[in-house]
Amino acid sequence: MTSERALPYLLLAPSLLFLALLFLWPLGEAFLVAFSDPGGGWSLANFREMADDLNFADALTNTLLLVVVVVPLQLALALGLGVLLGCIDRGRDTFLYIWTIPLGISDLAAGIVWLAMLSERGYLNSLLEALGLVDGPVLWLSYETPVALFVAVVVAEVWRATAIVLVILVAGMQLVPKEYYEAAEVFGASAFQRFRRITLPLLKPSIQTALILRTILAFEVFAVVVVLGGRDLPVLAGEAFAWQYDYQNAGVASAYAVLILTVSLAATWLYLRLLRVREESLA
Amino acid sequence: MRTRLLYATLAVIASIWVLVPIYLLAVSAFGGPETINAWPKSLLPERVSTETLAFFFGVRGVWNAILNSILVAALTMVMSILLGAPAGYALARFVFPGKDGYRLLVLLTRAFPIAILALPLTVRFIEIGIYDTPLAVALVHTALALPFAILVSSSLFMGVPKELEEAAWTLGCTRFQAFRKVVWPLARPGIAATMIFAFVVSWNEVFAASVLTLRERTLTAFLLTSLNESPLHFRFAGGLFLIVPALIFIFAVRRYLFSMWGIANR
Amino acid sequence: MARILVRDIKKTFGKFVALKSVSMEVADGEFTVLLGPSGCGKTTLLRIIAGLETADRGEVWIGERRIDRLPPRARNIAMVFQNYAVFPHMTVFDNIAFGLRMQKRGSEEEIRRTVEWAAELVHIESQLEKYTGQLSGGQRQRVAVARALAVRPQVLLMDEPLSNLDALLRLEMRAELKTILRECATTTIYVTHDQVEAMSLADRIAIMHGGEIEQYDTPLEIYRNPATLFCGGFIGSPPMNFLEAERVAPGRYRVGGLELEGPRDAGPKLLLGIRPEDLEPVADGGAALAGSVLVVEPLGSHLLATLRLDGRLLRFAGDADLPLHPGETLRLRPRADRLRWFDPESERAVRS
Repeated sequence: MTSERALPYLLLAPSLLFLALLFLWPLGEAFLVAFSDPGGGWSLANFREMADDLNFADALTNTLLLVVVVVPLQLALALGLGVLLGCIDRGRDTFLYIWTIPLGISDLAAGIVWLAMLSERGYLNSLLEALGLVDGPVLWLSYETPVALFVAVVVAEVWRATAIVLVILVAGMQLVPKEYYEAAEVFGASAFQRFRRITLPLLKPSIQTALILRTILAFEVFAVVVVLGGRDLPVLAGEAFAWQYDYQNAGVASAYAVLILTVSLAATWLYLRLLRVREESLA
Repeated sequence: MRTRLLYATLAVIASIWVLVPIYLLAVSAFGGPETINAWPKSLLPERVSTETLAFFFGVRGVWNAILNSILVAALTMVMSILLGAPAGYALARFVFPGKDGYRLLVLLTRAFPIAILALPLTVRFIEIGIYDTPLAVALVHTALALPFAILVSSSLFMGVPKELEEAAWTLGCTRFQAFRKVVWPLARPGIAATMIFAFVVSWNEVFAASVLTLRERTLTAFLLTSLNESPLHFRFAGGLFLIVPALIFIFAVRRYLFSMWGIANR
Repeated sequence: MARILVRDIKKTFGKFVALKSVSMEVADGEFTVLLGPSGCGKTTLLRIIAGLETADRGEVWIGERRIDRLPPRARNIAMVFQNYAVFPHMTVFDNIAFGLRMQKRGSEEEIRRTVEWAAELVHIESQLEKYTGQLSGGQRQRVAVARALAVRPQVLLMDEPLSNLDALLRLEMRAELKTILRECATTTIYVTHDQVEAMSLADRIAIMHGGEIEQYDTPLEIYRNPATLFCGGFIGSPPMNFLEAERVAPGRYRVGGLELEGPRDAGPKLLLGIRPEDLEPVADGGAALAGSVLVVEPLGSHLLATLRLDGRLLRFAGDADLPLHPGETLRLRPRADRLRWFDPESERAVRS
């Protein structure tokens, strides 16, 4: 019977070894590289260099702004679509499939999709002209129009990554027994009250998961921004890439990586504090 | 009646919001260079030509990048399931000390940005001589896909009642035979979906693929690093080519979307 | 076919003691039911015998073979599960043949004959080519029984096999199971929490409570002479009445307004156990237990009444035609040969 007891560990061992080698180890190493100077000692030199860089403040602000704007939009939109899905009586599966299509689309491809819409001779300008709002092509995606560029990235991100929030929320909604709604209806709750008093509280764990996942991914926003604006709209992951790839400076690149990790963890901690889910309320 | 019409309208609008940009990208990619510069634009394809696509596939390095993407994704798919399925089975069927710690580690891996993994690994991969190979990219992609593979396969195995396995044991099966004859056939469709999912994760990944390759680009890395030099219609064709397999894959795994995202996130 | 011997089995799950120290012997060909409320350890004991659970200590023997260290496949047992556990990705035929094939019991032709024999036994022979997903709950349970019998096990283990069926089907299957199992004469251990099922099927019943076997005897003996308060309360519907009794003289106890003959060498306070149907109405005059009627339940074949007697409730089962109404006073006397005495401290029966 000893083999029986060892079996789960044998089954876990390969994945554990893999995660240790390709996850824990590089994680430690990233910290090591970020916190060391060329001489090999401990130092904050890389962070100083990062902070002194012209793009740093913009990258940090842009990334934080993107998170603050994009994530709530996605949550609201996904909640709306989730509730809508419960109200439709025909074609639910088709709608759900269509709405989750962006789940399979990479951020790079999403950037290209919206490039086709928003480029100088793209479909948006064409539409605006047809409506008589602009005269000829307008340049949206340039460093001279930072607000328009920012909005473009928001639109592309909302288009691409609302699907993941939707799927998490719909999965949670399916776990709420229909009887709760029927009971609430019998007691005279309106549709909005049912949403506020039943859907939202019972969906809290799913909302928490979705927010954490989306926020972490939003802090990593990279390819969409690069496709639409190059480095005209600097973001943290983009800077990390540029320092590694263009300047060949692993120290500063790692400092950026550590910064991204820190803000991600801080956000996760914040969500866990703010949206505390009591175990006993999940019975 | 009127509210139902309203709901249906809203649902259709949401669908248009998702589908129309993809459709217009396809129009741009199939229209040839003239469509890109046409002004004003028409919503219907004025002409369908394979000119742009032919140009896209004709660019040096594209075919190599596509093959690399497929190779990397296939490797990721195989590695993540080979490593993930046994762990998922252990989580689903055994109670053992350290289980919660392992679970936490797996969940934790998903909280970390890809940048923090890819950058140090670049140095290591150069040292051991696998930098700029599909294997190197696949290893990092497996680190991304593995947590999913573990959690999803664990929920798949949990979905196979334990009694079926126990019944097989009492009828003369070893643990391995019972797994092969009973658990595996029942979990197989879900496992296939998980593998497809790992494939898509890898196929779509940009950052690590770009950092870890120089000549042996994947398609995403190729497109990203040639953005500045490439004409618009080349980018559109590349974007469309990236999207199409993803669409098919999502359609194939749609039944498992919820067990992948819904349950795996609990 | 063989006897089963269980000796000093102990099992804990963390801090919870599932089985304290259980020993029992099931004779060759005997049908034993493990009966008890949920959490009493009956399923755990069955699973230990099957090898699906490992005991902390103790021995399990089948025939002359000690099996508690063997994996389930080597124990020569078969098991029927509560939720049937028929394989959904196989046909009925493949399900029944599964054990035979795994144990390499003969050629495909011999296996086919055995499968057909087992399928006929449970009347499922017309469904052999179907997948089990197409079957009803009752049919799936038949497949599970056939699959277990097909391997001709030395011991058949059944874990609440009827509890997932609806009431009517359960009655039907119960009668059928009894016929089938008598035909096969396999040593069987059957777990249930349904006392009627236990009474109707068992050669002997082991009543389990709190991880121990409280009584192991024939159904009638347990009904007539429960060994503990728990056994008296668990078997019988409605259960046995228990009334406080006080010693007035050696061998004489007062219960309510009655003086009754009791055990000679027992303590000053006892409990009198009496079945509802062993109470008889008495004409006015004689000494009796007088209670006011609270509820009358006419059940057709007989009548049930609940009385209040000195602040306690007393259940009485009597003739269906008895004119009884709530609020009336009913005077009852227990049948002298059916008095059972219990020690309130140890909760065990005291023989008179």
